[in-house]
Amino acid sequence: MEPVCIMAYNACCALGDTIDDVFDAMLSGRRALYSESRLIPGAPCPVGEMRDLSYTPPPALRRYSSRCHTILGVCMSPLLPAVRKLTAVYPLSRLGVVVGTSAAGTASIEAQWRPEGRFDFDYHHLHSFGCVAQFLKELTGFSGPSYTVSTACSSAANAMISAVRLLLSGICDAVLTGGVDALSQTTYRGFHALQIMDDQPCRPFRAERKGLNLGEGAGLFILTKEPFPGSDEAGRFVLAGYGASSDAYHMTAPDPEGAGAHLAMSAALASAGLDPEEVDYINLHGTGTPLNDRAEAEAVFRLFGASVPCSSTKGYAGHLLGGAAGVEAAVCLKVLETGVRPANIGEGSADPEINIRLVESAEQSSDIRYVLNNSFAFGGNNTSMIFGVSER
Amino acid sequence: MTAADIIGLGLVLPGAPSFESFAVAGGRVGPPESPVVNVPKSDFLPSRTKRRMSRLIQMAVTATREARQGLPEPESIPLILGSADGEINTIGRILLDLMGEEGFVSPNMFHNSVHNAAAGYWSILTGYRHPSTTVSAGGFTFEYALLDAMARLQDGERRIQITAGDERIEVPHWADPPHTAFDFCGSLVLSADDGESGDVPRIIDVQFVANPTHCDHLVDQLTHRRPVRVVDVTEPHHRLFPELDHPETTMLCLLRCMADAELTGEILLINRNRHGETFLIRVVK
Repeated sequence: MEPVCIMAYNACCALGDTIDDVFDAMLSGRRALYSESRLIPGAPCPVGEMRDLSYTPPPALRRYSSRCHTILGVCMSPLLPAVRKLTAVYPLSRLGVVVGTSAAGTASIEAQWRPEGRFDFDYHHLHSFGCVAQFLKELTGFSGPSYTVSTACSSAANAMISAVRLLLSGICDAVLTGGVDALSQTTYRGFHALQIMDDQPCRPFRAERKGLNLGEGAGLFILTKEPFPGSDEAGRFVLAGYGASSDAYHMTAPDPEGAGAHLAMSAALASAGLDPEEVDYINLHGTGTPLNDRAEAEAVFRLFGASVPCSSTKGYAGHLLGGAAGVEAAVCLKVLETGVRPANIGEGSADPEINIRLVESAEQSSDIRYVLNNSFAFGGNNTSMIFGVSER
Repeated sequence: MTAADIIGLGLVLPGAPSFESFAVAGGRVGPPESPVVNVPKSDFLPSRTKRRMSRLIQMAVTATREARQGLPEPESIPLILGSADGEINTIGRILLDLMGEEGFVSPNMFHNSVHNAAAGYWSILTGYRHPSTTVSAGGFTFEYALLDAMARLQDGERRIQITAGDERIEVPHWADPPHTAFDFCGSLVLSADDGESGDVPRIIDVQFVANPTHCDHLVDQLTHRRPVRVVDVTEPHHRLFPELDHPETTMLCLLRCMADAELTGEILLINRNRHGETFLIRVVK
């Protein structure tokens, strides 16, 4: 595919409100997985909740008061100057929004739940999936197409893929995209019921891993078809390719052979016109569940061998569900910018069944040109995206 | 925009278990006795499998299957699922359990609560590994799924399927959005217009127009002294069930046009939302 330009981006999660804070925390080995949760009282497993979350929306947007919108607002704040630059150049009708979420405003429904009967709840502004995109549309003033993509934990990646299509088909000149999710009782208790959570800080790819930790956050990107004049550092990078597949196996468990993951990564390489040896880093889905990590490692090994440096960054602030691919794609861009690959954090010993090369401590490299990000989801939905340094 | 041939159709609706039966009735079905659908068990959907699924999932896999029937290499057609509220009833039931005395979430209900559950089940039932995504945008859900599909065709995809639907909202204590009064799910398989599909209906344009004045001007241009059948889906008399709302009304109107053998020529489907935004879909049959 024709590479798509990244004009600006940001990410936030329990590690910080900006991608610089998040990435610095990762490089210093800081983890934000709390055993005492304010959102999920009595939670037996650590969570990566965003503490001291603070965002004041413009008065016209106060009805969008869910935690999900608050996280989006925090993530958007550093991007507003880029939004203003865009709106000064392009017609508003050529500027679109495609955003991913898995749980939308579930946390807000729980907070307002009235067991005795009906409750006064603004469904259309707080929980309908479409309202996540609508909030960003109203916040930016963009008046082009805007919609929400919801494919569970790969939501942000599928939203970014749709954004690429809107650009390459000529429907939009720029698209605000990415993903978000907020922690909620429903997702926490649901994953707990599936018995795939670790009661310790999670340990992706370690022999002792027991499952995932949940977190919350957002990653947002402004993508343009053409390089935007005067872009900041982000303007050097492109979304170079993507691939997607279905597992056709099970609603929650991955295909043990990693066949669907292999298909998605192969399609991403083909889309970017790359050979496997040209990828310099893989940000793994790496949830920390025994099944996911083994299947993903198997697929990565079959396609890339054992030499490409890989890490999961879910050990820092948890699995961000619909926001995961957004934050991890932003981490990939920081890897391209700084030449530093973050470590695959998590205590434990090497799993003898896993043959890929895990980054054990943050490592500098002089030449990182292409990085790949994996995101997989319930329903066997697999996505891979490749980011690179622009050749223009 | 590249035109798209409509090469497959599917539907599940109260009173019409398939597009085939809907077409036999000429797209004219009376007010439903019940607003909910009971998808019958079959070899494709055995009782045990069916019991694990919401009605939306049952409808979506059934309509998706019907629309692909007879097409070559059905395993390679990517799927875009559209649903305004998705598994809203499942989420409501989870909340009732979670916030009630039980405080417990059923694992099966939890993984069924994701918006893309139907796409996951479809892949598992068929063994197909094609890509899929799931779109949600309130009353424009079908329209955005279609726009997404057209963008993919424009960008080089050869075929793509859109399955869009919602089930009637029925959980007590739930916020009860005012739409989705009945079960409905429809499906279209589109092929990039390469002249190989033969004499089939075609979608020749899909436009999102934010400005109402611009939209009025466009509609004038498209209809002035031209034999165009205008179907404004916001007008109750254009709907199959005038008294009943559904977020995918435009798709139902489109399928109704496809089912009506007497209707030929150019059709302009118009849908507006409360923000004054409009989708214009042009179809030639």
